[in-house]
Amino acid sequence: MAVRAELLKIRSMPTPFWTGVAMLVCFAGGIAASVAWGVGEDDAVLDVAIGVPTSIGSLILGSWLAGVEFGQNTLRRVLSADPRRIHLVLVKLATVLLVVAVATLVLMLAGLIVYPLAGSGHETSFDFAMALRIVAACLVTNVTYATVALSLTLLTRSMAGGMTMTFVFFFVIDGLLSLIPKVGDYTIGVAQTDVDLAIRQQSEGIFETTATNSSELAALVLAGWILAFIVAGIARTLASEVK
Amino acid sequence: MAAPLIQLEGVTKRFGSRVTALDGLSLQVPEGTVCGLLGPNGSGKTTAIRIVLGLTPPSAGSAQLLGMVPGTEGFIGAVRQTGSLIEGPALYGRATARQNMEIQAATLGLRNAGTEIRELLGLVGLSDRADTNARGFSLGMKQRLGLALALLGRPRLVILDEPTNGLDPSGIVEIRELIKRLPERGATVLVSSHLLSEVQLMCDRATIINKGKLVADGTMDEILGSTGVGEGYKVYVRISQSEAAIVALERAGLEVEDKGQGSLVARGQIEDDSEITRILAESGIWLRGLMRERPDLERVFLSLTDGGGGEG
Repeated sequence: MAVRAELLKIRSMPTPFWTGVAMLVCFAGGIAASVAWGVGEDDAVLDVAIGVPTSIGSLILGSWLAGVEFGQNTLRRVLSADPRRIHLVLVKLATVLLVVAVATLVLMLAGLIVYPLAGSGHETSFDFAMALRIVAACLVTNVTYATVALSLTLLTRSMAGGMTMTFVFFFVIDGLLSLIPKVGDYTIGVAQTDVDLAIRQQSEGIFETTATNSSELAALVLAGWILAFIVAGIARTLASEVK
Repeated sequence: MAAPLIQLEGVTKRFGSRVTALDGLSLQVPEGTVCGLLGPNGSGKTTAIRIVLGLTPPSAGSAQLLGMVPGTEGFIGAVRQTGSLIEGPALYGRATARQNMEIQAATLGLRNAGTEIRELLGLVGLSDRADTNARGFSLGMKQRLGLALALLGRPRLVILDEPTNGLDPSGIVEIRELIKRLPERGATVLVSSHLLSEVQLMCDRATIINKGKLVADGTMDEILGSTGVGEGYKVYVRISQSEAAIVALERAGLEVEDKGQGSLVARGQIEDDSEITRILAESGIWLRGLMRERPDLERVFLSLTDGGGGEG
């Protein structure tokens, strides 16, 4: 029932709606691009038209679902109905991961059907095995973004703050951390790239990135980062006075 | 006697080292009553409510809600039997009134709440606005929706913090009558309000706190009689006879307040209004009017709270 309450919030309010609309627009753009230029090398259309939009959408949704209570000042109402704060964080996390996973899978499944047909007039053929690996890689990326965004929003206790901090963390702080010799090999970004390349079975990713650690170690480091973020978010939620 | 639904024992709450919001506060809310929680702004009313609901921990002392201590396993059940409206309605502004109710029903774990949601929206007069976004509501409509949210699931205890804020006079009367009827639905009510006349009309009991401390607690009659600011009589005489009337009444052992223009207020041991008539007649003073003045909560409140000034 608690997950249902979170799903009702997602269904009722405009931010998730417009995030969904944006993803559908990108998906439609993928159809147009496939018709015009084909599906691209290594099924690139899936990454561009679904992978990137859903990763941004995951970040937004993660921030939004935690931040909506701060933005609307409804946390006291939620906790007055059910005071279990850890439960609340875990329910929100479960909900956002469920929605992110379902949205990614549904769009990817639709892409697997529609894009090859749309791009059939071009020379580049659609590699279904590669496409499935892209789906798995995107799921890992989206789960990571959604979890970190939700946790950082709980830490900042602000939707805008959480969203901003997530962008800053992934695109600035994590990049700076990766410059530190040795220690930099264990940043979340490096771990995520390693896991992504392992799933895709590629030696080189976009922006010519290459694997740093073994896939097993990378998966452990990534899981460690995700867990640390969740624990930090829960600790902050437990320690805070409810306004 | 049944255990009180709310019990605070020596609760102190400090914010940092300088602000003490509650200072050893003890209070009880017995089952089946409508209890008023009164105090000047900053006296600690909302902090006390937040401690009861487990939203903030006390620095010292203990709190119980339906016999359960915040943080213990049974406390979740106690909270689920408690509806609350604290510091104004907390609404999802971009969701409709009905959606707000559905979200709350799901949070409370209520199944098939559609009928109850319709009934409650009707009860607070929002049936025709059920599908309007809450952010477009006036403050009064938001208060009504907040009240409907607090009543969802037929709670055993309803805690309302300033429930008539933003309501027009007819809205205040409607909400007052609704609150007075809540015990018929099996609910005990704790209502905090600065509208003292409203509290006097709707509550059986009252607790008055000032600067985080309890200053009065009991039934409304006990509170009204607690300060000696008791019943009196408004006495109207000719202006030229005011002085003589004051002398006569004071000679009879009454305390007299001159309101000017031949209007006096007499307080003290008076059996009935005929005694006033007799005292004045014996001094050759003829009454132009006599009216019984009942003690009111506002005067009692002001006398107990040094004029109502809180710490802010």
